[in-house]
Amino acid sequence: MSTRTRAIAIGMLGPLVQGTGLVWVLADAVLDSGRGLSISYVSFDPAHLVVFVGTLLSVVCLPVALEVAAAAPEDVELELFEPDPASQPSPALTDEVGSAWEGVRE
Amino acid sequence: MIAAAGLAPVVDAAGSLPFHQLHGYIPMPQQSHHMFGAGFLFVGVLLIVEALAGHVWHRNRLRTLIWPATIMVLGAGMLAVVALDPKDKLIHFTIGLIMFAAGWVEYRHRQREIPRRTADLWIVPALIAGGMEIGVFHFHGSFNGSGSVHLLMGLTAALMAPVRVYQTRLLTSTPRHAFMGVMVIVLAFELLALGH
Repeated sequence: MSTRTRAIAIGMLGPLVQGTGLVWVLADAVLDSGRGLSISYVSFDPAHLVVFVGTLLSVVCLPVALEVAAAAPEDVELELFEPDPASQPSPALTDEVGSAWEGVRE
Repeated sequence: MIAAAGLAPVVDAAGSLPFHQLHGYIPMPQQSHHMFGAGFLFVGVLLIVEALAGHVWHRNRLRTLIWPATIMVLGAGMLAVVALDPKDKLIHFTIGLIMFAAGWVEYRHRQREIPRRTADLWIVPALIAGGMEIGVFHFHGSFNGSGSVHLLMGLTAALMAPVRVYQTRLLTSTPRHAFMGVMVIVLAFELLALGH
């Protein structure tokens, strides 16, 4: 997948979630038009929450999409979080200690 | 089971705090589920973004840590639910504890302090245990709307365990990484659909 396609996909995710929420809000309004609109209802209603999350995602994803669009293909490869081998105990040191211990026993 | 029984005094103590004075400010159980659903939807989509953006996503440390941090916050939120919701305290407490610990292990992995396989030693059993708790113990044997959704949520959480193992087998695979995000989004919509 090219970086351009990735950037478009990232940029579209937030609006996609927002759109899903809006369709849900509209469907609720059509199916249950008698329901009043209060702050408590809007704060916890799943459809409104989806719209809110979509808006938040649009804000978070926009700079990421722009960064990805400008990045080289190797920059969009997945990051591996394996610990740095330098911070792990060295096997050579262990061998040295082991052989020294064997020398004491002899 | 013995460990769970040992936690009972802690759970009861949390439940007996004077939270009734905050009545009207505390979300109802159904509303709490919706808020957790919104939280999972947010991080689920971000997992897909992370899979698509690769190294670019991790240029910012805050973005790297947002996934484990959100799981830890949701776990802490679940512990708060123990104090607010008089029902199923032990189940909520253990799920909250499992989520918090799983978030902490993932945080340590992302800090490069522990390898992925070591993190999986906790996260994979935690997902299975969480799924069992939600789908079996929280199910209460009733196939009403809430019961069926809890069963589905338990199944989704438990299915995340093999997905996590599948992801670990090829860590450089974007579709496998994004698949976990899709599973989290499915869980989010199940929570949002609860009682709707």
